[in-house]
Amino acid sequence: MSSSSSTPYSPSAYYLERGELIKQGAEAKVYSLPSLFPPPKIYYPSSPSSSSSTSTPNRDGVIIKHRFPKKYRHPTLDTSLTSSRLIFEARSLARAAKYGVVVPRVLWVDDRGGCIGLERVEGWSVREVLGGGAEGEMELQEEEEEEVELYMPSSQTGEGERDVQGEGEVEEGNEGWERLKGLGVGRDHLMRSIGSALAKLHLTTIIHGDLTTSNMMIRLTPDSKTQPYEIVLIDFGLSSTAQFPENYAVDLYVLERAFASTHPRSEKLYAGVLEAYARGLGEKKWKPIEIKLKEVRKRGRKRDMTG
Amino acid sequence: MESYTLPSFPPEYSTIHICLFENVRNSPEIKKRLITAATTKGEEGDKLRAEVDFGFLEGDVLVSKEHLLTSILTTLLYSFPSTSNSAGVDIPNIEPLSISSSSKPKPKTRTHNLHSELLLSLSPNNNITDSIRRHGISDTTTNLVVVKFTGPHTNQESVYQSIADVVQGNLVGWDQIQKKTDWGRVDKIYKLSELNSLKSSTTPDEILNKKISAVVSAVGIKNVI
Ligand SMILES: Nc1ncnc2c1ncn2[C@@H]1O[C@H](COP(=O)(O)OP(=O)(O)OP(=O)(O)O)[C@@H](O)[C@H]1O
Ligand SMILES: [Mg+2]
Repeated sequence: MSSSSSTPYSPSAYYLERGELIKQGAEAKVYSLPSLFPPPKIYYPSSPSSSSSTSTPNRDGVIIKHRFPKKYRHPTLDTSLTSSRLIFEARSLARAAKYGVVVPRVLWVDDRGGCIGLERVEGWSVREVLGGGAEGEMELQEEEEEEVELYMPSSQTGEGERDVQGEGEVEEGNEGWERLKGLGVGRDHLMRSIGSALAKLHLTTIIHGDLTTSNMMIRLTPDSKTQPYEIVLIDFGLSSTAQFPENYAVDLYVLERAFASTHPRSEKLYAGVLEAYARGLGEKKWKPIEIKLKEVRKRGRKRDMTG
Repeated sequence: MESYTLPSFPPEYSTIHICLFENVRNSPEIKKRLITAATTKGEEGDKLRAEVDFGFLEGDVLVSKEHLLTSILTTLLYSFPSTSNSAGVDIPNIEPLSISSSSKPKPKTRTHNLHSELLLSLSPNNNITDSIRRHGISDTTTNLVVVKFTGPHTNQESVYQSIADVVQGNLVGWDQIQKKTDWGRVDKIYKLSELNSLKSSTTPDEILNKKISAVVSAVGIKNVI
């Protein structure tokens, strides 16, 4: 194909043009779309044998994440870096799903076009629910552009404007939080769910690599008899598989730091995450990780002091 | 029959028609026609091939319509891969492939055509024979899925008629697909044993959901395994 024509071609372009940009980061742009397929034309010769088939309500919203090329990198290097990150992300998500970890479904992998298409998780990030304000502080070391967070319009999610305010206590207008409260779910419960979701992930030997409260979403599960909501882990672009307890410990430490900087008042709550994590993993697997986590923390502190 | 048009792919292949039949009575005959068509040479062979130029899939090992649709995207993405990561960056409107090339673009496939490529996309490994055995029509198929790739201006009625000329069975709506799934076989194909041994706190419905997710994602990442 590349030989026949020099006009660049990417089947993802169609979606990028029509998608709604919901987040622009330093590495990727995230778009939201109602579906990867336009509504079908339905044809049944006589009357359809099952009449309900024409109008199944679609809950198939899609996220397209485009890892756009970086001009400061050599094009060939850039393409291979982008595509290998994307492939890692896709594989980790599929592997996690196979072991029962709740993650978005992978629907579209256009590695050369830099795009991955995922099931859209209808819910809120843990960050929003905990009132962490707009994403930014951690990532802004990235040279290029500023992190701008945009929000899905209410037509897409059936929700109103979300809390974009700064730090602090959970504010009014935080829909996710209100909904959880209505279901009798408090912060402690949330922390435990996060901990056990991480334990499930680590039990598959996958390391997330970028655990922050923006990379965890909360999805209500009204059909479930056992739980009112679930934690959905997203953003596996930096994931890998682990060999040593230290790898898991670093993953946890990254989240610990994210909590400290994004949700200073929730920091104490983080203990609840670790408790549930330890329980989910079991004593035997937890012990060596706990030891490493202490070491990693110490190292981290030292690094902070020396700058 | 449902027909989807995907403008992001070359027009010649951009419309996908999907049918679900139950109580199919002539699967062995269809299978035989496929083999004859593949082995007959010349004009006679072309005619036979055209008559059965569809994807014939075992319905029992599909878990949802999304499963099939994802395999269709995976097939098209493999066959018409991106040539560059410049969408929406340097050139605001990337030309669809076919506008820039005058002749009909040829899909890049590992098998004969897009229809057989679909079987491979559904398979979690790259063994073509396995994919035909597991996902293709067999003598015992009663729930049959038929897929056809065409251009966007094809008449639905005539596409359906050409399928009905081959298949003896009852066309049903796609909401029926989940009732057909043979999970024993699906578990084996996609190696889902881990999910069957999840803790007792997970309800059967939740396990089912997780399985569907695992299967869809396995097909979604097929081109990069
Ligand atoms: N599957 C999804 N469903 C719903 N929202 C999503 C989904 N994936 C991403 N998002 C939203 O888009 C935001 C950014 O996505 P993501 O975290 O994957 O990219 P990123 O942080 O820019 O990527 P990276 O850190 O790899 O550069 C998320 O915080 C979330 O709000
Ligand atoms: Mg992120």
